[in-house]
Amino acid sequence: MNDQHICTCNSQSMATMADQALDALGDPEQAAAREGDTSLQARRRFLQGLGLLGAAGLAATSSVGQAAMSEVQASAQKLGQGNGLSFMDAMGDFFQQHYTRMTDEEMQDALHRIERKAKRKFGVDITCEDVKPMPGTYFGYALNLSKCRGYRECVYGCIRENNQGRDSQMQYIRVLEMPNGDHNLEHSNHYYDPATVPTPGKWYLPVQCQQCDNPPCVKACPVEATWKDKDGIVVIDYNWCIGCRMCMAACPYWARHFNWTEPQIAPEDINPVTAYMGNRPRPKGVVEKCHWCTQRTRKGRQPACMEACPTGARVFGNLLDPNSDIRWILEHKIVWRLKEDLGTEPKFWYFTDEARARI
Amino acid sequence: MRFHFRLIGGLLVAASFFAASFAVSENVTSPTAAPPMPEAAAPPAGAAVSPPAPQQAESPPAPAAAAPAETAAAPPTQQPAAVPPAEAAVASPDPAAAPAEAAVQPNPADTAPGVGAAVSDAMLQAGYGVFQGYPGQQPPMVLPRKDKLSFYPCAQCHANMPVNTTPRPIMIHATAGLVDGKLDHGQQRFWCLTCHSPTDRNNLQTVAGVKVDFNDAWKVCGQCHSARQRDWYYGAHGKRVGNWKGDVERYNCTECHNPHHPPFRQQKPQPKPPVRSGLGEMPHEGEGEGHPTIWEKHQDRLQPEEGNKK
Repeated sequence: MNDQHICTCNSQSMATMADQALDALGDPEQAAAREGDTSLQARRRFLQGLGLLGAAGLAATSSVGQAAMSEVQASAQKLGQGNGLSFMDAMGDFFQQHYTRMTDEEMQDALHRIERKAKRKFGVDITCEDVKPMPGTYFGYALNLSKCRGYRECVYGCIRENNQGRDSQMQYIRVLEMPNGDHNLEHSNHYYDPATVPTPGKWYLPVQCQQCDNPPCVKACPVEATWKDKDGIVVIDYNWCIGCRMCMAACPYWARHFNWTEPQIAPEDINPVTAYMGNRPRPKGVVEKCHWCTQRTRKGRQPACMEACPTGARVFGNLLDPNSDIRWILEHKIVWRLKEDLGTEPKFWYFTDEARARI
Repeated sequence: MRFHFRLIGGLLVAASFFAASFAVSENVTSPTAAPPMPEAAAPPAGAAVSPPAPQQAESPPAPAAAAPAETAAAPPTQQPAAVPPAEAAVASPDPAAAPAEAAVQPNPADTAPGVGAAVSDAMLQAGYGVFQGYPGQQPPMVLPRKDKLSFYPCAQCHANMPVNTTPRPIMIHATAGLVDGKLDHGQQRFWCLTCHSPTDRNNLQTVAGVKVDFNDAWKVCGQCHSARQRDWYYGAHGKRVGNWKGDVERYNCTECHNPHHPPFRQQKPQPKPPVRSGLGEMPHEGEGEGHPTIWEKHQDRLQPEEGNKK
């Protein structure tokens, strides 16, 4: 919401912008106090000022921004949290650094902002954590197509876990239904909805982010808001994403999705255990995708889709562990990867029961 | 090495059991099933063939059981079907262990108790001859099943019932997934007492008659489904529960597959993806009746005249 203010202000002329900004920012504390008095107009004017400041390039000299922020922060603490007090957090978000450049303190602030925003938006107390990759892990995923019955349980396990907007067509996993003897994705249908599945003569291919080892989406991002983390998971800094959707165009798996609308989630459906690189509530206007449940897998738990799968078709594990299930599959079963010819090196393998083990 | 020894032991027990049951039931006329047996059992097995069998007959002390081993053995018609899987399960599952090699060069020190001496009842009770796992790989922790069985312990009822070994529709166990009282598994080649012990109702048994705990049901399934068992053992089949990291904990076979009706269920799928207002579903080729296969497209070539013209 606040981003919108900032954006709309950018079209005004530079001179008046700067004047207005300084005017509005004259006394941040006072402005904050006015905000506390629930004067919507004052709040809007203040925000507008801040936005103009940024637009006029004054905020680029971070000293001004930080000075303003620290004062505003103090007043924000006084005025309490979760009571419509979003301007402060909007400021914090606006000046937030890139993930890799944030200090621990700044990270903590960012996490607290996320928690406060969730409280404001959904009325739910969530915890947000910056879960780092585990040393010595490089993740891989294998999916047994003989076992996939097209129940779509993984899709909904994922939605529940990852706080995806319920009405925004945001689903990280698509289960494609294809006729037997056919592997042409253009013949696939992911809107299948018969009375029961599996339908005779059809097979099912769940597709999600393949966590490519050579990810084209990362190359496409103009602002480095997405990158391959140390454990091989391609993550997105939703605060840094500008929503240009270049990565979506680059992804050959249709794994990335754009938040066209503000994600709508009922408060009781919110998963309160979140991670910065994972399932924290996302704003409108950013791209998101499957991240193999970093909030779970980086703590040793299974991804939600694997846990939700009733047939046990999904196998997640550490590729560096020679005794892991996934390594056994890769070394003994006949596996294939989706669109492997593109050279994206997906870390998502498909296999079947029927293929003889290579022993 | 210990594993090899078990393999051989299992082979011998299976072989001896079937040899014994063949000898008892005189009307066995299947020449196809019989020959592999002596070959499969390595030369020293000759001595071991007989001892376990009588033991098998003597061992069940069950008073109510009017079924000694020979009657417990399935009717003759079932045997040809049952033999190859049992053999396959015991002999083939582990490629790394190379059972043939193991059989060719048995280590006398290792195999002495199994081959030379009779397999004692205690050894059978301890699961002797039952597949225990692959070498070099810790067996997965398998989630217990007994607490989920609604009628367990089965002996509560069956202790007071005489054993009737005649295959027949069992209507009373309708909740077990039987279809019209019949077992929907194995295409009628076996029935209850193939896997359920007739003498110890609280346990399962292998085809060789060795008791297996309900919690170890995967060992019974693996007798026929050895390839699946291997996949399951190493994590390519079946469902792992808990974490991806740390100890491996898996569902038993029977957690997902009803042993009396193993195919996976048909189920209503979860709702299809929503479509944002103003947009239609993404079209795909051949929408409606589905994309025609290549052989459907060219059905007309089956017409001889047209085919000739082309």
